Amino acid sequence: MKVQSAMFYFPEEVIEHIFSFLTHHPDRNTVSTVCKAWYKIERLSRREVFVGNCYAIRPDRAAARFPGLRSLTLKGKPHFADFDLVPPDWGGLAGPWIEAMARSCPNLEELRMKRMVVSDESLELLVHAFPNFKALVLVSCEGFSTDGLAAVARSCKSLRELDLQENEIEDRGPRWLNSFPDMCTSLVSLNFACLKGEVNLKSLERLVCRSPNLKCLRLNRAVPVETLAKIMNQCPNLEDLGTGSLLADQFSEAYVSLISALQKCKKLRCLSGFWDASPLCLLAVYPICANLTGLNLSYAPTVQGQDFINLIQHCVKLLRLWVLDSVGDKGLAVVASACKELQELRVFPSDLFAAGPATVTEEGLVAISTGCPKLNSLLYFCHSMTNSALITVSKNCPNFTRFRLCILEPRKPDPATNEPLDEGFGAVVKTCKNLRRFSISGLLTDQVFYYIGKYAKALEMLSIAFAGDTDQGMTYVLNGCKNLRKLEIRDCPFGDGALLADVTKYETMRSLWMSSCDISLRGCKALATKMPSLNVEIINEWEAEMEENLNNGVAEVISNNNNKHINNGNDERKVEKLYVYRTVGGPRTDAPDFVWTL
Amino acid sequence: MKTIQFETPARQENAPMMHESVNHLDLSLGISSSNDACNYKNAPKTAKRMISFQTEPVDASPAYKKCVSVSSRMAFDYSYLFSHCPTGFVDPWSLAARQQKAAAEQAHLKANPNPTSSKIAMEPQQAPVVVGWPPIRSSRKSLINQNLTKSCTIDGKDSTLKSEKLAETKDAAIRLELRPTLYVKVNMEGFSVGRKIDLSAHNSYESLSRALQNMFCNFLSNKLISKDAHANANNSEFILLYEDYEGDKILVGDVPWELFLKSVKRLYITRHSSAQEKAGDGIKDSQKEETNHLNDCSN
Repeated sequence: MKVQSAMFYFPEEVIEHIFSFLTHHPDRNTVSTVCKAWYKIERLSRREVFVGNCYAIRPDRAAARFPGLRSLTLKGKPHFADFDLVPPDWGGLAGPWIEAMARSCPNLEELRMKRMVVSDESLELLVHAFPNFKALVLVSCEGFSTDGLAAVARSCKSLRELDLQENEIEDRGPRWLNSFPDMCTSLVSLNFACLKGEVNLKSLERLVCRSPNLKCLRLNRAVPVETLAKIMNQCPNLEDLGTGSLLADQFSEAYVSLISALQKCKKLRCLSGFWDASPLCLLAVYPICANLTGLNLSYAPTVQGQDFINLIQHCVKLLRLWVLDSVGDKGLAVVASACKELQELRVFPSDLFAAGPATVTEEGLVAISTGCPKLNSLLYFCHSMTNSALITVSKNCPNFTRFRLCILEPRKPDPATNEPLDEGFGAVVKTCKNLRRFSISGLLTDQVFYYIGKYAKALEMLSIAFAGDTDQGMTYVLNGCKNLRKLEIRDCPFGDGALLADVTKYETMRSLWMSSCDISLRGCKALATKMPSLNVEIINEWEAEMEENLNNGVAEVISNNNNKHINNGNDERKVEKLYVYRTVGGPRTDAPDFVWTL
Repeated sequence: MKTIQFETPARQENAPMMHESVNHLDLSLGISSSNDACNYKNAPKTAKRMISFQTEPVDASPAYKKCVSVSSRMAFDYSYLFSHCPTGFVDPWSLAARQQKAAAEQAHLKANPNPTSSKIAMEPQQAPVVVGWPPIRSSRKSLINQNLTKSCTIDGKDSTLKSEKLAETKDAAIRLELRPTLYVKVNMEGFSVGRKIDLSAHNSYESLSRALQNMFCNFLSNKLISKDAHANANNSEFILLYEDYEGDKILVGDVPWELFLKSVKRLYITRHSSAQEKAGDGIKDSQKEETNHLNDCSN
């Protein structure tokens, strides 16, 4: 009993100290559910919060719960928004989150956002509301311009990281780089590779000059070789470099300068960019290849054939490689023989239409799997694939955690046997026990979903397109994959039966996306009625089309019997796009006209 | 009231009488006759939304219904836009045109429900019909299209099949508004405000020089305007220079056109007599800049 009373008076500071060793979000979420005291201690000491769906909770509630927040990660639009399946103005607004944080969490230092819409005004508010703000990472975001970047540059006294990946940024001129104050010397990481416009080169050089801590610098295509050479001379300690345009004349002073500058960069581990790379510029890179762990050539269609082979055979320590399929099976074979440590490979398509002479096939993938047994992450675009190749690959590399295969032609069977690819993908889920992310393509029947449901126990994210025969396919997945968090489906014959087979499942998942499937309004309404803790949203673009017609003053009168009010219409109508997610925030208040929450 | 004559399909920024000369434009490239930038911004998004129809629209407009029957035999031949529409000339990016295009693609997809036929090499447009497929980001898609159009211009000696395919691809890319552009600044001596011109819309020095003349003829006095290119070259006070990626100013016209495109960064129109003096000033300026730069870095 003495022990019990001692435990009763256990000081909060000690518990807080113990919690400080818990960094994994799920662990912290779990301890907060133990008792009220622990909930309170945990929420006041929490420094990092990850919100996988910005509509799962209201911003002010999140901000109020964690007043000591230093780092916030937010994700907005569904994944298929990357491929234009989500209409513009769908949502994912960062403004309400930044405002809520400004009110309740003054210590915010880092903000990471993916697929959200950020305005210039929000960026202004961001840098003025948080005196300690240090790091801004925006991935696949939109809605802001270089003026917003100027505001961030100007007002952040100790900005360490400005990382812009794959964003749509409106170009309002190059002067944003001038906005970094002269006394700003704290930059560690700067990435503006996605900016399409011109950049003030002199400002860039001066900024690099006064940033001794710079470790990561990724330039955009507008930066020429001369500037790159000057920059490299200034920061020999760079670890991660994204080049600008690598178009250079062999005998130019810039090229010679670049070679000597690169040779001094002993710490360089990661290279990307390579816009317009001439083979001669690649020669400059050879001396540092031996130490490279990351190489991204996926924006360099000029690097192929023998140039690629000459380059890659030096990269013996490579862990991550992103290339275009123009390197061909031959190039991949060289990768397999040289890069024995390879863990992640992404092969992007360079020609969407027909398989040319130098694209990749299943042979390239088999070669990679044979040569690189440590491979655990794959994204592979090809024109065809066979079951036997997939079986071989899974035998060679049982450690896959992410496996994404995209056969460019929908519903294409195994060309050798004319059969579906069920057995091939089935082999992958059977042997790769740690598979967390899976994307499948080609001709597939319900059988592949049977395998996924039966074997893919660790699966968290599944992407399906043009696959399956009946509702049973989707049901296998919902019943079998216990850890499923995100399911996204397009152009599959799954209907209301599949949708409603296990409605409580959706409460255990982050979200479900179904587009161009066989579900009807009746099924969606039934789901919404049974599960009030979910937001069941339908995206219907007729509304937006009609409004636009009226705005354009087009002469034809488009009759409006496609209902404005979802309750007046025919419930048997097929729903084009469905997005279901669990939330404690109730229906969205910022949903546009074409999004209907049932 | 000027009439602007041009033989190549160049985009003219100051063309008030565009409609008069519309017949000279190669409309199959989808160049809009309207200078309204909004059409371009909105068009691709809406075009994509049109394509994502799942069911036959119940309450389609009369124009739409008419076009479905017409377009089913005219898939991907854009001349129908300009011959079958009841209102005559149709802005290619207008709503009606986009509806027709979507209807054509829907009809074509229905007519050929099996896209896995072996004719994929002959009809490469099968691929772009499906929205959001293949699943790659738009930044990568535009890179692919840029690359394909570049290879289009370079190798013209391939077999007819391949060149047909590449030509179709180029058209598809242009329709998708992903044609690579090469806008460079043009500065006229004595004027603080410059212009911008798209070099990729031209294929020769003659075409470029005509476009520049048209652009700057407001700035020049009457006696220097001449429609005859030869006369202009001989008796003009003005010369055309370009600045390459190394910062040097070079007279335009020495290197082949393709090489010029690769190295040009800006254009200058200066007076002939002062070109030599300018060279001297240029050196002094760049020396000053260098010393400034060195001062910064030694802080």
